[in-house]
Amino acid sequence: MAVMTRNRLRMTTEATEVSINTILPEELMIEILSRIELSNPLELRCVCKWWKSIVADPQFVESYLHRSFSDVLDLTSTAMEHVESFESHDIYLPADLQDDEDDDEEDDDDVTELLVNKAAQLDNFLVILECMKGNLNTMKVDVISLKRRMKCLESFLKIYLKSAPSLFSSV
Amino acid sequence: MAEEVSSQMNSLSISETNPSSSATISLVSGDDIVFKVEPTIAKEMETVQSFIDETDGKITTIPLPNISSHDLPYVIEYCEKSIAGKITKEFEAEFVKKLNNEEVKELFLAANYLNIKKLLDFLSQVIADRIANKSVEYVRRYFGIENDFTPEEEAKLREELAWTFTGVDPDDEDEN
Repeated sequence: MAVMTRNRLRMTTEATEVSINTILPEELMIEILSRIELSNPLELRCVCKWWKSIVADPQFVESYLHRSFSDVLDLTSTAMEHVESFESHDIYLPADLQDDEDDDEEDDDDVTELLVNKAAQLDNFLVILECMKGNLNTMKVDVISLKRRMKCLESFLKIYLKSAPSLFSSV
Repeated sequence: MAEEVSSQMNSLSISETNPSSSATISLVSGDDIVFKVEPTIAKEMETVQSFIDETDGKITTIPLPNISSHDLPYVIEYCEKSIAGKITKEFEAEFVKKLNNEEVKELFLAANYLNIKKLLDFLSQVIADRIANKSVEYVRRYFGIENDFTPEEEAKLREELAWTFTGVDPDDEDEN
């Protein structure tokens, strides 16, 4: 493995004088940076000049955009799944719950049976409601993080396009 | 499957009648501690193996000046698990739990020096996970990076960041 071949850095030389920490060489830092699960790469830009340049590196940008898009797609498709599960619950909604409420109560056995049935239906309904509530909460969380991702992505692209106009003037 | 491999390892370590292929390898740490390992372990460490190959297996004592006796046992442990086919998520989670941030970085460098691809991949992911969603200050401290921006430059970057501010995890000070 090549050690310290590329040379666009100031970081290691400067930082070794200051820090008592173990300092990682540049190509290892790139290895790490490429693996960070980022919600917002703009934070990385604030670390130091070298990191700022990494974040604007086309390779980094490409992989970040790629991952962002697939995250957004994942979030969207799970949201869709939840929506679909709502639709499938519809069939179970006990529309007939109140139907024969005022039937004659002549036969005690029948009444008991009826009540047990109703109770079971209500029980079932409750389970469905709980489940729907859970789905709703997950959807809410997903949508919030979706919104965040989109916002981050938007600002990142804005800043990236602003700071790298040369890339696009040639296109 | 894993059973088979480990029994093979045993037979390798017992058959010392064939010294050229199965003599133990001595790894000498930077602080002069000798660690005897099976040749199969050395194979996992590309740097060590290529040294052995270059000398046709005549030299079995390999100095590793860049690796301390504190770190080497971890590397060996990982390689042992690796050849036994026992690298699981659980093992890896336990493995890093024992390590503080400084140790992870040292091991990462050791893995790079020894050229152990699996350990290198694994540890870079560990470090990436440890700094994901941490504050800028935390990341600087973690890597010992000096802030080389002027206050004006930094203020401008922070301002751009503020548009998207999504909150960071609290810094876990006890880690460092």
